[in-house]
Amino acid sequence: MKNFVDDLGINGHLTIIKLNKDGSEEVLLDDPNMIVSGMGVGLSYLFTGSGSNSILDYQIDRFQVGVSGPPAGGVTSSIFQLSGELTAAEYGSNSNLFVDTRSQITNTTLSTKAAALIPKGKITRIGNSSVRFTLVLDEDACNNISRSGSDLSLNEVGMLMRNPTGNADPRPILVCYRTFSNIRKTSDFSLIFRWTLNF
Amino acid sequence: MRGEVEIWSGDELILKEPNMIVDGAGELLADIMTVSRSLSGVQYTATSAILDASNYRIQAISFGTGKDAYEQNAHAFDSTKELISSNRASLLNISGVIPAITFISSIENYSGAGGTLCIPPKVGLPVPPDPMLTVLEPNIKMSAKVGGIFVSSVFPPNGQLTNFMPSAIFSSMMQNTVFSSTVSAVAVASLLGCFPDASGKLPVGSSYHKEYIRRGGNSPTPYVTDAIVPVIGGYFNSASSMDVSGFVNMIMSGVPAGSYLMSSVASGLCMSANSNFSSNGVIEYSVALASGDVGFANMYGGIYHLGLWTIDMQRTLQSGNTPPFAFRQLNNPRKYKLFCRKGLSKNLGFIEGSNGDYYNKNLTIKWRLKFL
Repeated sequence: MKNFVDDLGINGHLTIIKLNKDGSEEVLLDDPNMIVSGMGVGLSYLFTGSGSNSILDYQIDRFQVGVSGPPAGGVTSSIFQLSGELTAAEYGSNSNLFVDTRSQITNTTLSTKAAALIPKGKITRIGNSSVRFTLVLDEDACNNISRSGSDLSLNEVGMLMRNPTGNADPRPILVCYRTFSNIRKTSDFSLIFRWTLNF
Repeated sequence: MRGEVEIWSGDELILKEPNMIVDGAGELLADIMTVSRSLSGVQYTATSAILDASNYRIQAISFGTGKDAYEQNAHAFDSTKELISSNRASLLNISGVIPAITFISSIENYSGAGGTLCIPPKVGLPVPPDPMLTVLEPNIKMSAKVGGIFVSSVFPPNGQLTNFMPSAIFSSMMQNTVFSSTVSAVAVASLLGCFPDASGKLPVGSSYHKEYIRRGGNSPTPYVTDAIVPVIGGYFNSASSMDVSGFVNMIMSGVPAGSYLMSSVASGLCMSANSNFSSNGVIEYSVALASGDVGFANMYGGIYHLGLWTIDMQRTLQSGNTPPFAFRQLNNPRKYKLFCRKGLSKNLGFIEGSNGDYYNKNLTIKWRLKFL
């Protein structure tokens, strides 16, 4: 039997836009994304009544960007975490992002990871069964990242469901993922991820 | 085609086919993703209860048949039937017992031994699979009249088999309508169908609950013989788990009715999953139909469609209801949205048999969705 997420036809489309200080725009990516198994896990908790009693905990309310994509095993639906997600500090102290660090469900274990919250105003219903998430890395976010003396570029992004298990301390889970070509983020531009999910 | 439906008769698997997730499922997920978080800060309980996750789960199952069935079978009430009814005072004057009456060309299969006689209904061609469907069978028309008034003008068809036959339901539904007189109300309930009252609520020894009438001879006076099937009851109205619109409530998330256990599929729609659900993603919805439920549904066109439903939050709120939306048989505050459906190529009400074994049997529906 085919799985629900595949059969329901949940798919995503990600557009990455580089917004320069002078207002000019450049589309860096315009491609489908990958819905990962975390979506099915989260929905399983909802429909069995075994997870959170609040529907808000099943919402996608945060995202991560990383610097180590694509994963070694390739991009598959079994991905449960970014290969090299940013730390809370790397998101930038002067940015408009609100970064939340939680124990993320990673396969059968938990890992403490940071994610940026998606403002409610950036989640828009654009059709009966389509929702657009607009993720903004402003000019002060994720700039000039380097680790161990090496400059790193952004090349992966993922969105997470808030807390499907209903744990008192929210435990997010990765539900969609996408890699992209290296982008060395600087204060000269903002990055806009326009992510549309069609359920 | 998505998901999987199994139909069991006792320990015999009589059908196993994939199902179809419809667009309503996608709409539900979009609803979930865009529910306003600000509601969580509202102190008024009825408002913040909109965020209760149970409002977004599968909450009901229903049954349907082809649209042509609603013009025929026990849904029909033509002049011949009216004549027969008027000449048979006993038919419509049995307090609290509504007969399902249909015409057949032959009753030779009837053994006369009681039970639930099974005769193939006239159905036509049920609607083909379509993910855009929002009801089990669209564009249903019902032309039956009582007292010269179209029944559908007061109770428009809703795309599925409805539940008007229990006396508590039809007497309440007919109040303050043009069908409020007892005779009219009984006749209308008999036309709308489709599921019998609980056996315990029916008069002992009554033999008019289900009636097949063979028509013959010359017009205008028809030659009629009857096949009268003794009283049989159903699970749905025993457990009060089906509302007047034909939605069987999901009981595992609420208090079960009467003396039924929460785990009994005879008391309504049950949901179950094993402890590994988060790794295998399999959720099973199951419900049992008594032979009486199947037999009566067969009188009204059989069962060619199954549907799983979630609550349609927008319509429910727009109807003036405030959460929590407690299930009720009458005036159910819940408005439902079709989540997935199953079209059957074979009527569940028809069981092949021989040597007098033409009776419907208890059925169990097991509907599995796989999320991983």
